[in-house]
Amino acid sequence: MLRNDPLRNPEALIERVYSYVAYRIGGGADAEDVTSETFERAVRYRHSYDPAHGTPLAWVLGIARRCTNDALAARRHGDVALNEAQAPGDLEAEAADRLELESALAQLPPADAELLSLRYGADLSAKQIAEAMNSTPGAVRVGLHRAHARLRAIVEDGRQEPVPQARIQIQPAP
Amino acid sequence: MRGFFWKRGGEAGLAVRLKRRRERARPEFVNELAREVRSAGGRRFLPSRVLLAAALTLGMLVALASVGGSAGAGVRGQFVSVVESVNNQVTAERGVALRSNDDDDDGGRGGRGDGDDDDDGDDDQYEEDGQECELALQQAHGSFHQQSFTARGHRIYHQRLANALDDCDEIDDDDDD
Repeated sequence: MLRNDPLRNPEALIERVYSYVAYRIGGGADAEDVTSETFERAVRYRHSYDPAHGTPLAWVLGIARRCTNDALAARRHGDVALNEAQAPGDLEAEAADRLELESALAQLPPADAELLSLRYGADLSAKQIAEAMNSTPGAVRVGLHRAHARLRAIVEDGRQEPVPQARIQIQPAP
Repeated sequence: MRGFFWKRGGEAGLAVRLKRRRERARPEFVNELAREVRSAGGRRFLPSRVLLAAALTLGMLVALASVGGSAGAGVRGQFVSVVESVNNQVTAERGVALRSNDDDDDGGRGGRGDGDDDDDGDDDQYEEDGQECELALQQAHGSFHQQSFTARGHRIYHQRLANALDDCDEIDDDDDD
C-alpha cells in the first residue's frame, strides 16, 4: 500500500470526476467510459502522485481533463457519435432551458467550457480550480467572469460577443 | 425562445441553471469503479530495476570472491566490464521502450510504472519488467560463459543466477494478482 495513496477514498473522487466529464461531453455511457479511463490511468500512475503538488482531487482532475480532451478530439474526428441531447417528451420549459444551455456551452471556447465544467460540473471553488489548472484563484475568477459573459452573449444574441481572450492560461493536463 | 432562460434570473439565474445541469454518477457505477480501484490498490510496485541491479551486482561479488590473487585482477576487470555493458544495454533498451510508450500522465518523465498502452485492463508493465529482467540475466549469463572463471566461481554464479531468475518469475506472477 502506498503511503500517500491519492485513491484511498475513491468514491468522492469518482463522483467529482464523473460530474466534470459529464458536464463537458454529456452524461451517460460516454461519461462513464471517460471516468473509467481516468481512474485506470490514475491507478497506473498513483505512485507518482506527490501531495506537495496538490490535492488528490486536483491530481485526478488533471488526468480527467486529458482524458476528456482526448474524447472530444475523437469526436471531432468522427470516431465517436455525438451524444445528442434529447428532450424527454414534450418541450417543457425546463427541457428547453437545458437544451438552450447545452447549445450555448457547445459554442464556448474550450477554455471557457473547461472552466465552467470545473466550477459547476466538478463543483470546485476558484482556489481548487486554480490548483487543478496550475493557475491563481484571481485568474480563475476573471476567467469565470468572462466565460459567464460570453455564455450570456451567446444566449442573448445568438452569437459570440467579441470579449477579449481570457488571460488565464490553460495548462496541459499532467 | 432564445434568451428565455437567461432573462428569467440574471446572473444568479445563469449560475443556478449551470449548477442544475450538473449530473451525478449512477451509484452502481461509482461503487463498481471504486471496488476496482480498491482491488488494484493491493498491487505491489516492485522495483524491478533495483532487483536486476542487485542480481548482477551479487553475481559480480560472488565472482570476485572466487577469483583471488594477482591472476584474478584481469578477470575481475573483464567481469566488471561485462556487467557494465549488460547494464548499459538494458538501460538503453528500456529508455527506447519508455520513450515510445510514454503516453502516460506523469508529465513525460517516463520511469517506472508507465504501463502498457493496451486496453486489456491489466498492467503488462510487470510482465514486461519480468521478461526484461530475465533477458538481462540471460545475457549476463552468456557473457559470463565467455570468460574463463574458476569452476567454483562458476558453480556459485549458477546458483545465484537461478535465484535471480526465480525473482524475475515473481515479477511476472505479480501481474496475476
